[in-house]
Amino acid sequence: MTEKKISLLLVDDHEVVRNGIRLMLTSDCGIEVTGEAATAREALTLIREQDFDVALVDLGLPDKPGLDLIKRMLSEKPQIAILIFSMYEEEIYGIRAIKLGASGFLSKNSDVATVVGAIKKVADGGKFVSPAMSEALVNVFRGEKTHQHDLLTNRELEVLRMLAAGDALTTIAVTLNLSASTITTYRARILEKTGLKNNVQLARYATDNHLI
Amino acid sequence: MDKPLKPSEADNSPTDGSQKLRAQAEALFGNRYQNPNEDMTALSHADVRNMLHELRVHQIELEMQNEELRRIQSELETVRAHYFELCDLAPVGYCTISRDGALLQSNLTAAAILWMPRNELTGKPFINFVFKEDRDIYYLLNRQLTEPGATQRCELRMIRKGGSVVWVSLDASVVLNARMEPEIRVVLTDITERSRAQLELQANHEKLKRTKTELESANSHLLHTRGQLASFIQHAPVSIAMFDLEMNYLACSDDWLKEFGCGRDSIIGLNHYELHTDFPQEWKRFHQLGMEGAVLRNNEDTWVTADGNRHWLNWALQPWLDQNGVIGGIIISTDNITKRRLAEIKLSENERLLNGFFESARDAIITVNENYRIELFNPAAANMFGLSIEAAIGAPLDLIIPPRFADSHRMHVQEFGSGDRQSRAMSMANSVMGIRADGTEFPLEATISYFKTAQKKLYTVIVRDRSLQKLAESEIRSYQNQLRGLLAHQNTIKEQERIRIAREIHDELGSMLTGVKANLSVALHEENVRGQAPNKRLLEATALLDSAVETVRKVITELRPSVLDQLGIWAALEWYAKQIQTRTEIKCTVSMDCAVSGTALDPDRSTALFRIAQESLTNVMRHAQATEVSIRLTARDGLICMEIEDNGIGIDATRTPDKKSWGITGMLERIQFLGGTVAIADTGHGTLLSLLLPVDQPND
Repeated sequence: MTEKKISLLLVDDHEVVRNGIRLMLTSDCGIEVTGEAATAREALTLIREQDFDVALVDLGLPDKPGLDLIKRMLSEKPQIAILIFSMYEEEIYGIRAIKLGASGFLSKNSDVATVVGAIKKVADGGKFVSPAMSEALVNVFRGEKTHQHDLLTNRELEVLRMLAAGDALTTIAVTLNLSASTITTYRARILEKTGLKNNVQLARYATDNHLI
Repeated sequence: MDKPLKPSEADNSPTDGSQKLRAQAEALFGNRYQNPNEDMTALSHADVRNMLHELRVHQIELEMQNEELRRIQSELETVRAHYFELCDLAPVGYCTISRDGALLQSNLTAAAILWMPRNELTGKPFINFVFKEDRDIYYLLNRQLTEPGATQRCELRMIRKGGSVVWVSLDASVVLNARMEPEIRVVLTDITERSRAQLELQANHEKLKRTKTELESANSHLLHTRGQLASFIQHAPVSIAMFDLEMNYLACSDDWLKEFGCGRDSIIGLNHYELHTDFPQEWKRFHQLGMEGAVLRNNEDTWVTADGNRHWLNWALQPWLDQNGVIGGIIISTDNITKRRLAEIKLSENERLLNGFFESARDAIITVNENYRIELFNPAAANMFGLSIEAAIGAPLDLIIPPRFADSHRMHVQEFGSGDRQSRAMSMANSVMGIRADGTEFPLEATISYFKTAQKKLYTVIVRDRSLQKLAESEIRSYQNQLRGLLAHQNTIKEQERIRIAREIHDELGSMLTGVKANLSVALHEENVRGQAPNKRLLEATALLDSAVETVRKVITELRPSVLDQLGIWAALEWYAKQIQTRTEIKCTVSMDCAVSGTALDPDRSTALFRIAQESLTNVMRHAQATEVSIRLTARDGLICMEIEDNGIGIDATRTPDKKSWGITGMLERIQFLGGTVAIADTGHGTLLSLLLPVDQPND
């Protein structure tokens, strides 16, 4: 093989896991584990001393949350490809890890082929995305927007709609079988929660967000 | 008119006159009879005799005529002198003024008006004698006198010698004198008197007018006063009436009418005795005494009406005088005190009752006047404070209040009694302390009320000794706190234990499983590389291992979601909501404002918040039959507000006395321990949990 081997940094506080990975990687001579660290501190020391193509990082390190380590490592070595290797739910951490600059998320019960494939992919500058995660990513990019009025109770939302429709306070009170002062309280809460200032803004907001 | 001539000046001597006349006549004769044709010589003797006769007759005739003329002349002289006299002594002044304004002639009266000798007037410009400010009047008048026969009149002031001013009326007319030149003839009348009289008249008139106005105003005032008086009498808040000598009503107040009017609208003019037949006979005697000038009064009179009811009356009677100072009748004022008397009778009964209650009450009853001194002190109070009643009465309230509270208490009482209210009551349950005569202090519960009487303001304090109650309360509170602390401690331990177990499983079991998985995976891979069919046992083991890993992961998450420690409470709540949505049919949404997502919560509060959300959402899943649940998070003023609202069947329907309420109790305790509050409400279309949690307050 004339091609340069992929240098890999293993970051996991359990030797069993590190051994397992190394075992898996013996099957492929294109990847060489050139460093191992049991803590975040060790990992940071190592990458300052030597260059790695890929770092396989566990999230549950004893001294520092793995997600924080991503940022630190990238600020030291921006070229390093970080692959998160965790037993935690990919759907929670995957997106966040990638947002923080990681190249992928690898579940700890992945088989040899997946592990090797993932490492090679991120070493090439690609992203490793599991099918479940890709779906999650799509959702992120689709951008499920949140609205200010999501903060309102159903009752408050109802009052907002009526206020926006121009109903008088007393009318609303009668319709909802509540006292006018309660409606006033609702209104104050609506304005506070939505950050709006008056009925005109309220009506406009309601129209813009298709509430009426 | 010519120069005034005196009769003496015209008196020529007859001789001189006849000689002169003779000469003139001769001359005239010469002129007239020098006719050459007339021949005197041709006349006969008879002719001459006739002619002589004729001439002598003529002469006699002429002499007679002459005599007649002389007589007429003398008569004329007399008339003329008379006229001059008349003119000079006329009651008005006459003057003649030339066209250029110089005084030509003036009579004595005119001179007298101006207090000047006549000769000083003559030749002077008339205008000089006109008062400066009235000269325009004269000029105007002068201008209007344009042609002979024109007359004008004006009134103006003229200056007398010495500078005083005289009012004159001036009648002017233009006449032609003997030389046929126009002159102005002026008649001056001194009207100073008239003017003064006029002025006086005017002044009098003014005065009259003023007097009239004053009279009118006085009259209207009188009417007004009379109206007021009538109104005063009518609306006077007393029962009062005015009678004439026959006891007929002249006036009465509404109160009187109401009381003694027998339901009539008016009783004016009616007779008192005809109106009321049931009044005591002796009252008639009192009326009579009043008519004779007596002033009578009775503070409490009583009579029984026909219907058998007793009435009490406080009355006063006095005569009134007419303008001549003669008694015109009487005025009676009464005050029906029946109600008051009855109330007093009742009051004295109540008083007895109250007194019994006051004496035997178990609570201490203390009345304090506005000077802060004790007026009443019942036996229970004496017992409670270890004082004798005699020692307490009249003493300041400070006697039974620990000195350190005295000032604030006094202020408190004063503030309490301020304002216009007649009475007010208030409980003082919190940490009010009393002091006994032996100096020991004890907590008490006091209800204070105050009421105003006409004379004074009284505060009544009812005091209950709370020593025992207070002790019990503080014990309960202490136990409660201990329990809450214990519960919190238990929760913390539980949580720590969960974290520890989760960690252990994750670290030890998890990594071992990962190692096993690696080995299995490599073994299978090697078989594959060698071209061998995969070992079924190995495949089976891998599948088992995967499910084992999955189980481990689930167990860890259930024990303690990693996300809570790794990513914090907000991410954990979002994750949990997503879990619910995935696991159930319920749509679960989380919304939070920036203030919330920017708030870092300590582990204790994070855990509490998460567990409460978890508990609440579990309830929703189990009981609420909801299709939607939303978690809303807002932050303000150092408070995190979490609202969890579902659209299910509501809290009342789901409330069960078992686990559910224990769960809620657990929530309340947990949050209360952290200084927060939880409220759960039925919205009519679901359940709303509202939680408020202070974020900056350290828990103890």
